Amino acid sequence: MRDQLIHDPRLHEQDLTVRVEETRVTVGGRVSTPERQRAVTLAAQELMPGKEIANETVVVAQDEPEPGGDERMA
Amino acid sequence: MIRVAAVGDLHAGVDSRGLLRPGFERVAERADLLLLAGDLTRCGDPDEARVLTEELSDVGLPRIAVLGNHDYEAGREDEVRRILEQAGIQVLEGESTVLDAGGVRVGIAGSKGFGGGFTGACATDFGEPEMKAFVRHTKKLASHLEEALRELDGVDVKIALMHYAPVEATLGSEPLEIYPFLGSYLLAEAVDHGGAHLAIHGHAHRGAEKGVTPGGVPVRNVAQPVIRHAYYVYSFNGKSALAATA
Ligand SMILES: [Fe+2]
Ligand SMILES: [Fe+2]
Repeated sequence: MRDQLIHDPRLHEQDLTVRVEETRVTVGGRVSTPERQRAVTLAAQELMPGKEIANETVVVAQDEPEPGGDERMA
Repeated sequence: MIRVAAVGDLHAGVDSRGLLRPGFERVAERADLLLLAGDLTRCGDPDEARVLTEELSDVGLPRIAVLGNHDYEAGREDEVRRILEQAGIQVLEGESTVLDAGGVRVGIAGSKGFGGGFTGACATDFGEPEMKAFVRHTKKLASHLEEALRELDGVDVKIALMHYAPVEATLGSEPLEIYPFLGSYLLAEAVDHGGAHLAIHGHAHRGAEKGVTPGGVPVRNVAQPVIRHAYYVYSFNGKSALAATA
C-alpha cells in the first residue's frame, strides 16, 4: 500500500507512512503542497475502498542540504 | 573552487507559493550557481511558471535551467521559457553559457533531451513515421547538446544539464518497461564526446542519484523525489577538473 501510494503520479511523495487497521487507514509523513495532501486522501480511498482514511500528512518545504555536505567532484 | 547547486522536478503548482522559497534560503552561501534540471512546473501552465519564478526570485545566485516534459504539457513551453527568462532564469536548449565564479570558468550546456532507451534495448530510426520522429527528436537534441558542449572548450569545468537520463544507472527502481521513456544512451554519447566533467539530470523520480557514462563522466540524478532535499551541491577544485581529464 505504501509503495503504491509513494509511486502514485499525483503524489510522487517519498516521505509517507501508512498504517492499516480494520476499518481505518492512517497516512502520515510529509508532502510538498496542499493539493498533493488532498490527493493523498483520494489515492488512499482508491487503494483501500470502504476504509476510513485518516490523512495526517503535513505540508512542508524540502530541507536544504547540511552545510559542508557537498560532493567533491574533482 | 566552484560549487554547483542542482535540483530537478520541482513541479511547481499554483499551490506551491511560499513552499519552495524556504528550501533555497541559504543556497547563495553554499553554492555559486543553481541548475534546474527540468519539470519546473506541474503541467507547463504559465501561472505555475510564475509561481516558480516568484519562489526563486531572490535566491541571490545565477540560475540556469532546462525544461522538462511536464513543462511542455500545456503546449505553452515558449511562454514558460519567456516567463523564466524575464525573471532572470536562463533556459538552455541546445545552447551553452559560461559563468565566472571566483576566477573559475564554468560552462553549462543544456538540453531537455528525450527518450529512446539504452544500448541493447533501444528504439531505432526505422518503420513508421511516428517511430522515426521519436528517435530523430532524441538524435537531434543529443547532437545539439554535444555541439553546445564542444563550444565550451577552454572553460575550467564543463557541465551537461538535461532533463532525461543519459544512463540506466540513475534510473534506480523505475520499472524496466518504461526505460525508453526515461532517457537515451545518445545523451551519454553527447556527454562523453563533448568532454563534460559532470552530467546532471532529473525526470526519473524513482531513480538513484549516482551513475557514470561509458566514458567515465559522473552522472547525477537530482530529481527532488530522489535527493529528498531542496537541492544538492557538487563542488570542483576549479582548474583541476580540466587537468584531471587532460
Ligand atoms: Fe518530473
Ligand atoms: Fe519529467
